[in-house]
Amino acid sequence: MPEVVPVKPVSVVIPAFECRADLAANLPPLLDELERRAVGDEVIVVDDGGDDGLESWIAHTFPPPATFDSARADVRVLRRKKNAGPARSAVDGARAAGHGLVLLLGCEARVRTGFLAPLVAALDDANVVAASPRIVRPDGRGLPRLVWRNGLLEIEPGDGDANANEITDAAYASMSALLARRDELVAAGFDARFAPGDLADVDLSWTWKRAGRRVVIVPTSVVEIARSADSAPPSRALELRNRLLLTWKHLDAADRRHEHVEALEARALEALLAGRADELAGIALALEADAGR
Amino acid sequence: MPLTHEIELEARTGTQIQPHARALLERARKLEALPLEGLAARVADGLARLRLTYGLEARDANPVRALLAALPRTELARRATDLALELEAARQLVLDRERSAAEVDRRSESLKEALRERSTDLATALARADEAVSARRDLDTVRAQLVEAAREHDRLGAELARALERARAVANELDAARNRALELAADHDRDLASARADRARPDPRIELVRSALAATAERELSRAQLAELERAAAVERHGAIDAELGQVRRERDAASGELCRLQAESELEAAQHRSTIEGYERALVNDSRNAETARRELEWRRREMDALRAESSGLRWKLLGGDLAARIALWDSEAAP
Repeated sequence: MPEVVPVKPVSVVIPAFECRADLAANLPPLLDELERRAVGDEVIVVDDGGDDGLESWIAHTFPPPATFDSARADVRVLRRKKNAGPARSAVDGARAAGHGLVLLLGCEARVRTGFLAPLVAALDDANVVAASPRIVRPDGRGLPRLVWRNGLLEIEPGDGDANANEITDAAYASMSALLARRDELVAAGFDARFAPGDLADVDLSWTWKRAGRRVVIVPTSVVEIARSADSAPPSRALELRNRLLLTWKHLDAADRRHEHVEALEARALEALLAGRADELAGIALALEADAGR
Repeated sequence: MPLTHEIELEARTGTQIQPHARALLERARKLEALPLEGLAARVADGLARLRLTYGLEARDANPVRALLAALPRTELARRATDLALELEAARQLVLDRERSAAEVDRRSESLKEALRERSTDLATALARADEAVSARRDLDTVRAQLVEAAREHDRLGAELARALERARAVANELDAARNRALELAADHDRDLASARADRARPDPRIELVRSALAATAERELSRAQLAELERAAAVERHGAIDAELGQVRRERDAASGELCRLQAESELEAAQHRSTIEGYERALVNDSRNAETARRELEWRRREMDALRAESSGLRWKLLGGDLAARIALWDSEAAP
């Protein structure tokens, strides 16, 4: 007697702020994939307080199925009255999700055929808390890497690593494409101090990993990113602020803390001598946010 | 009209500024607009707090604060300019170093090439030196041969001188004889004169003088013949020495050839003997084996013969016994009623 494989439908949550053009290009391949799966997946687009009439555009462009029997996944829109950023919108969308698995997807992400099944399978391991596909950028590179260099956390371009086939532990799972269990995602949430800007997803991944859970990358699942995400830092000061907040939150080793403070003092001195006010402002913003913790 | 900060950001990164980010961006902008010293002091205070939070010891003089206290803003600007100049000077220094390194590389290549050429010349010179040493050895050999020839020449010259001395002595004796002969001749002349005066009677002394004169002429002839004989003897001695040397060399070569031939023959003979001995050894081993086999076969046949003998003995007894049983059966049948 053949083994019955339990069906695990997925709620796809897409935080969106005035990105109709992206959705017009990237929703159809996603819906095609969900239609092929035919397991009752759903798509929730969270309108993050935009003014582009997203709800009516989606209702017109991606109408609900004509009949109940249609395998086409339903696309519904959740509208926030006030813009709060993609992290907050993602958690709101997860709260409204009807299924136990939630796929966070940036509106700039375009899925490739067959991307979802390997991700869902990766979460069969109860210790895996989040699974991320292989993310491919237009320049062929993968996600940026975070490296510890001379006492400071630096961000460098990542490599594509296109030859890997095995599921491996990842440094972090990007909010651009991340599959997690709804309840665990809602319970953890994203740290609001990282908004605006990015690294909230890195912070959540590291929090999970420090609790002994696994965050994995599934190379057989591929998602393309056509351009930078909306959550990219809008200024150097904010980018430095978030990087320092991430450092201070997760830096435990005493010797590295000492090394870090000395490096940061040197960097502040260099910024002062070179007149780089934006760097000093970034450090000051991080110190303010940390003091209010 | 200069671009605003926000427009500039959008132009550079293509990133949208979302409304929720505006408050913090505005805060960043205000901080950036602060006097640099004030902003730095704020950062220095915060970093001092961070030190305490991490349980690190507070600095007696925080480097940022110390710098701020020591340097007014104009000084900061001057330091910045100085640093920029130093940076440019360092950059120039690096460029100069790179150029120097390139020049050193070029010279190094040139030196390598020169070294390669020198190596070739050195090899040629060494070959020539070897040739010179070889020529010098040849020259020494020739010189030694010349010295030997000169010694031989001197020895022959000495012998010739001794021969000449002897010839001179003979010549002196001949001169003395001639003088005596002349004196005798004078005496004879005188005697002849007196004899002429006395022609009527032949004088036996005149005959004696005549024979003496004949002897003198003969001695002159003998002296010339002696010189000729001495020259011939010298030439013959040279020839004899060369001939003897050649003969010795030929005999040596012949003896060497004979030795080689005898050696080859002896080796061949030894190989034949060895082969024969090995044949004998193999034959001996085979004979031993055959003898052992024959002994075993003899033993086996002896045992078989003993068995046959025993069997025949048994059969005989059995046959006699059978005969006895047949007789008893006959007796029984005859005795039966």
